Amino acid sequence: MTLRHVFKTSLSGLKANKSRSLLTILGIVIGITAIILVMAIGQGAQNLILGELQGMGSKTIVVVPGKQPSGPSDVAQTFSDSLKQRDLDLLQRKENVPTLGHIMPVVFGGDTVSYQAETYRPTVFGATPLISTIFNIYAKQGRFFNDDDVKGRADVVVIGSEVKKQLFGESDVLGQKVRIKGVNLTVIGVLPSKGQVSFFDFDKMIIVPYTTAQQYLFGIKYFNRFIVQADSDSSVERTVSDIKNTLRNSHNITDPTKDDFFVETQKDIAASLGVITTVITMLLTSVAAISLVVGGIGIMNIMLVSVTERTKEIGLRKALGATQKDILTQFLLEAILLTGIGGLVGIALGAGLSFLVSFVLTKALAVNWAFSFPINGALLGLGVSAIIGLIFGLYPARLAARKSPIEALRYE
Amino acid sequence: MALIEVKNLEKSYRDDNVETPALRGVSFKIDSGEFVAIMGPSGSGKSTLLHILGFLDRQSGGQYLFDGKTINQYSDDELAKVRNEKMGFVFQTFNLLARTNVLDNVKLPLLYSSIPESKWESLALQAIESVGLSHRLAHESSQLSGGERQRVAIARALVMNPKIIFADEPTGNLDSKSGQAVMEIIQGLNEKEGRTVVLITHETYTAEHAQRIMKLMDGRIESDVKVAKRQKSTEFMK
Repeated sequence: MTLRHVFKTSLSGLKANKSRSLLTILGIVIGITAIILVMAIGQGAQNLILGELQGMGSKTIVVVPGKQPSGPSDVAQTFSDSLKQRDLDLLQRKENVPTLGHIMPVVFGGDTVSYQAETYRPTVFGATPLISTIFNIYAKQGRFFNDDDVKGRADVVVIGSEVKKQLFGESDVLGQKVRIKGVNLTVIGVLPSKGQVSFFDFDKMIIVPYTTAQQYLFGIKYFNRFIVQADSDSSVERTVSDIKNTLRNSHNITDPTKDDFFVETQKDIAASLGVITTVITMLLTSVAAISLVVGGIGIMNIMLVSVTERTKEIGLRKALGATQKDILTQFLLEAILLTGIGGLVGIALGAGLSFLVSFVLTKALAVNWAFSFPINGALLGLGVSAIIGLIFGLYPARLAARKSPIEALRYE
Repeated sequence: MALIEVKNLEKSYRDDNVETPALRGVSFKIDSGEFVAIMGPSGSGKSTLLHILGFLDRQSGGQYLFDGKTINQYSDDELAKVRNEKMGFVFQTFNLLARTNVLDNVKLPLLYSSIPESKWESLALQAIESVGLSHRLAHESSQLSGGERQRVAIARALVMNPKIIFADEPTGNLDSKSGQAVMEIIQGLNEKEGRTVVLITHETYTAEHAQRIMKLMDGRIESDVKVAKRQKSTEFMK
């Protein structure tokens, strides 16, 4: 029998049993689609979390006041006034922290801002012009405040796109005055709409010089954070230990366990998030594995049933002159065609659905969810279903082909 | 020269370590061109004998020479080749491929032959013509009557132009009229085309279409006689 005839025979065999062929293909399609979908979502979630982290840059170090919380119930400890102007001055001295690139003191809080009859409750962020460099964010209209504005406690404000929309709608904003806690601030800039950047939503934020925020808005003399950038990736650790030593000297602390501040680096955040992403990945992988097993059992059953059911046909073909090899090649090819068609449809469907998911998530949640096609998942699903299809398609066919023709013919 | 020669042929089936003998030493010869009917009640071993003669099963003891060669000298693939080229089978239950049309059913043995594909169509059409089903080419087997199905099966058995036809109760599932038509065709294969025919039946009337009747009982030959007055299906039909 030539290969062409084997092919024709297999095809007509599949056509003669349309519903069974379709069921087999469906089983494979569902298995592979499930795996691709699950893995695509898992990859997308991981990329999203990692992307958030990278938004801040790996050189960034955050100094937080208070004792480092050892558990969720410790949150209150972070509300502390331990970071003062004196600390900022000390940290800025080259001899204390030689590898320091930039340092930005930050204060923040929530407050109602109003313009005429409109009100909105944004996050009020007190910072320095360095916020542009550190978060890579620039004014779309107007300008950011400068160092002179910071020194002079200027009553100026840069507002996020959502704040602008809520307070002003489409009308012009530059030079307008908004009110917070009875203080009038002149709008000098508007931020572009950026969505979430590294845990901050700048769209719903107003940014003022930190001096202005401390003095007029919050009435405090301490800072909520120091955001520091080391001068290079390799000097992060040295910078951290210099910052700790400087602050301990300044606060007269000799025992590190009594620190009234703590330092977080990008690495620390990545490590704590790493646990979460690992758990998510494990969860998704086990879901994928289960769907693979379920799909595999489906393929196994239908293959076993369909080939066993055709024992009689195998007997007839043998009686009419088919050799064992003829029978096996026919069933091998049928199994390959079924798993191949099912696999391709499954990959297409899986890719399409994961693209749809990423599209919907991007639109609905306004997150930066990148579509990624899990080649590993596709190959794994295809490989496993092909192997299962072949084993459970070929094994009963081999059993039947080895029987004497009459035994197979008489099989009920 | 004898086309088929069996000497002391034995066959037993093993089931749960219980040995059930089906053939207990059978010896006979069938010459080329003969038409032999094998009769016997169920369990007499007649089907077992036919399956061994048709290379569908192997014997447990004794000798079987087909065309001068013993069956043990053939490998499985060679047996398949002999079945394909020299033997034609007609079964009681027709055994046509489901959801496959008449033409493709008849072509099936050609698929496993060395005959070039260019000749398949004409060979199949010729075989279908000879059983009078040319008007049913595109019908699937489920659309045919029992008699028509059996005629398709005969066309399939003929398509490779075999030396010998094995028919296992070919009229067993048919009404008497279709049965007659089938017997007419089978008799014609023997008389007009000179093919050897081995027929199994339990009906005396059907057996009397043959030249010779062999009766089996409990795995042994009870009698082996020439038919004095042969039935002619053509006469019955008219």
